[in-house]
Amino acid sequence: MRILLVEDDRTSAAVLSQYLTSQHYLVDLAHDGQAGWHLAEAFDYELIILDVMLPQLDGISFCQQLRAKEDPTPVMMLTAYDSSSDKITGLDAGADDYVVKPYDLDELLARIRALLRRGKVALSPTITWGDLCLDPSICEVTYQGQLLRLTAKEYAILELFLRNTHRIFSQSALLDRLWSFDEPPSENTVRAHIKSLRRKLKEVGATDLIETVYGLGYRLREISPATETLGSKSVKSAPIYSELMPFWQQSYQKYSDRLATLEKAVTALETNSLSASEQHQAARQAHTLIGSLGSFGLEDAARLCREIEQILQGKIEPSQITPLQTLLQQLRASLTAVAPVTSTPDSVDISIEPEESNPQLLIIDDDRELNLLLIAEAKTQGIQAKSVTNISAAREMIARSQPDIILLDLCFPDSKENGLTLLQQLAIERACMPVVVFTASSSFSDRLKATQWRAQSFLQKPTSAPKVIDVILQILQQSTTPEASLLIVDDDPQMLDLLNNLLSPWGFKLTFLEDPQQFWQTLQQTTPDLLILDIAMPNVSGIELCQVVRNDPDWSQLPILFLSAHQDADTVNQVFMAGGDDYVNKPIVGAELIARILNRLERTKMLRQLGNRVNES
Amino acid sequence: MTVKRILIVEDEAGLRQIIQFSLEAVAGWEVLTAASGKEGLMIAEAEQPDGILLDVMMPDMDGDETFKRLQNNPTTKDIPTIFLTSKASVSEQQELLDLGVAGAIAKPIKPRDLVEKICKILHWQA
Repeated sequence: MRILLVEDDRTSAAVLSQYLTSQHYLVDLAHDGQAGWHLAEAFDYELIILDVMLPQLDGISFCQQLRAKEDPTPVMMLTAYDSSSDKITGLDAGADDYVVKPYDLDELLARIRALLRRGKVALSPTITWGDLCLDPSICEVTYQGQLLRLTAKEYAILELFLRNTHRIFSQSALLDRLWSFDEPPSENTVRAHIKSLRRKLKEVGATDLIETVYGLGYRLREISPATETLGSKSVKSAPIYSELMPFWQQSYQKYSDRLATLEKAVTALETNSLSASEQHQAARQAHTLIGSLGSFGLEDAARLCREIEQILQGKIEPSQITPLQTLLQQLRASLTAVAPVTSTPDSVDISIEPEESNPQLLIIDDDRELNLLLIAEAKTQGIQAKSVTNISAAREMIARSQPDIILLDLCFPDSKENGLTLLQQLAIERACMPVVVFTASSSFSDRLKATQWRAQSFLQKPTSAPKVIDVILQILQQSTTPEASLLIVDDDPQMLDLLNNLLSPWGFKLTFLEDPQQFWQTLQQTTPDLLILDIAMPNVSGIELCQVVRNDPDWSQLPILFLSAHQDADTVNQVFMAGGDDYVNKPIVGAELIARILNRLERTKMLRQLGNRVNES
Repeated sequence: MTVKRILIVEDEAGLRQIIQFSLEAVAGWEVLTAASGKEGLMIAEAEQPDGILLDVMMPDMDGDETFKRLQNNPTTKDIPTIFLTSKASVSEQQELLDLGVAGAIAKPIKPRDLVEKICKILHWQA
C-alpha cells in the first residue's frame, strides 16, 4: 500500500513516516504542497495524508485541486486546529477523514486502514480469499490456519492482490505501487518476489493462487470449484446481528426465493436459454442481495453475491458457468446455515400462551420496535413479556397483571409524565416489584434518582436486546430465591407494629415475638434467615438471647441485627462481643434498617454460595 | 442532539426494516419510510424530514431520478440526501457524489455504525 505524506514539520513527518513504514506501508514524503502535488500527479497512491498548513500549496487547496481533476484517492487531513468549521472546510474540500494533532499513532493507523478499506470488496478487517486470510491489523497471513512467513514485499504484493481481487497487475504497475521511487528495482525483481511468494504459498498447500496472465501480468486466481465445494469449511456462516433476528425471520423466505430465481437463471444458462433481459434481471437480484444479506451481518454471503453479480453483468463465457454454479451453491449453503429455526411468520409472534410458571415482564417504553425485539428475546429465555407505550397504560397493566419485573424507559416525549414519577410511586407502593430502568438519558441526576427510588439496575440505551434480557433474568433469579424469613423479638408491641408496616412491603416472611421466654421454641419453629433483637427487654436481654444462639452449633451462623435506643460505646461493644452482626439505632430510620437487612442477607447468601463452591471443589 | 427525522427510500423491505431499526434503536431518530422513489417524493414534500437516505437502484424511478426531482422541487431541494449504494468502486461512488448529494453510504450497511456515518456526512453532532 503506497501512501503519500505531505507534511512540512520534518520531525513529525519523520516519526509518522517511520511508523507507517514499520506497518509495511510504503511512504513517499513531501515537505511542501507543491512537491507533494507533483508526486500525486506522477504516482498512483492508495492514500494521501495532507497537513492543512503547508508552504506553497495548502492542504485544502491541494485537496480541492485533486477532486477537481476527479482523482478519488482517499485523503486524510492533519491539522493542529480543532474547530468544527475547519473540519467542515477540509471535508468540503473533498477530504475523507480528518485527524487533529497531536494525534495518537494507533488511532491514526486505524483510520488509515478504514480509509484504505473504503469502497473495497472486503469490508471485514481481515481479508479472505478461500482459505487464505490476511489480517492487516497484525500484518499476518494464514492459509487454512497455518501462518505464512512473508517478507515485507511479499506481504505487500499479496495484500494488493487481495484488495483488488479481479485486477491484473503488470510488473510495472507492481513496481509503481510497491516500490519507492528513489530505489526502483528491475522488473526481474518483481518476478523474483512473485516466485518466492508462490513458493511460500505452495508450502502451505495453496497452489496456483497467483496466476500469470500471459503478456499482461499477474492476478489472483478465482477460487477453484475443486477446493470450494458445497458445505466445505470455507463456507462460513457469519452470525446474523442478534438485534436483527426478528427481521431476519420475516425476510429469510424472501431472500431464499430471490436466490431461487438466480438458481433458475443459471440453470437456463446451462441450456443456453437465458435471454439478455433475464440475465439483467438476475444480475439485479444478486445486486439487491448484496445489500440486504450484508446488512444483516452476512458478509461472506454478500461477497458471494457480489461475485455472482459481476459475472452476470458481463457476457458469460461457457467456462464461467461452473464457477457461477459453485458460487450459487456456496451462497445457498451459507443462507441455509442461518435459516431461522422456527417457521417464518409474517410478524414477530408475540402471543405467548400464559403459563403460570413463566415469569412475567412488563416493558414500559414508547419505542414499539424496540419493545417487539425485547419481547422476542424474552420469549427465547422463557420470560413472558408484554409492553405498553405510556405511563397511564402501565399503571393499569401493573394493577391488572402483577408483573414479576418491570423494564422502564424514563422519557416519554408525548406525555407530561416521565418514568421517574412511576418509579417513585412503585418504590412506595410496591417495594418488592423489581424495576430495571432502561433509558437513553445519560444524566447523572436521573441515575441518582433511579437509585434512590430503588431501581434494581440502570441500563443505558443503546443496549442490545439479549443483554437487557440477561440483566432481567439475573434480577429475576435473585428475587425468586425463597423469600427471606425474619424473626423479630421486641417487648414493645408498638415497635412491632411499626416494623410490620416497614418490612412487609418487602416480601419478607415476618414472625414477631413479644415474649423473649418463648424465644427458643419460636426459633426452632420458624427457622429464620435473620434475627432482629431488641436489647433491653424484661427478664432476658437481647444480648443474652444472642449468646444463646451463638452457643448452639446449629444456629451459630444466623445473622443477628440489634435494635436499641442505647448508643453508648459500652452497649455497642457488648453487642459485638456477644456475636451480633449489626446494630441499628432507635428511633428507626426505615431506609437504613432495610438496607442493613438486605445487606446482611446478601452477605449470608454470598458466604453460603462460597461455602458450597469450596465444598464442591 | 434534537430528535432528527429521516426518510428512508428503499424498495427492499428487509433492508428498509434494518435501517429503520438501526436509526431508531441507536439514535432514537424518527424514521419515515418509502418503498419507491415516487412515494419518497411525496413523503419528503409533506413531512419535510431533516435528511433522506435514498437507494440508488430501484425499479420504476431510480435514485438518480428521484434525487433530480427532489432538487427540482423548491420545497425539497435543501433536504440533505445520502445515497445508499452497492456500487463497489470508488469511481462509481464518485459519479454518484458528483450529482450533488451530501454523501454516499455503501451497502451492505453496518447497522451499528450507520448513525455515526450519517452524522459525519451531514455534520450532525452524534
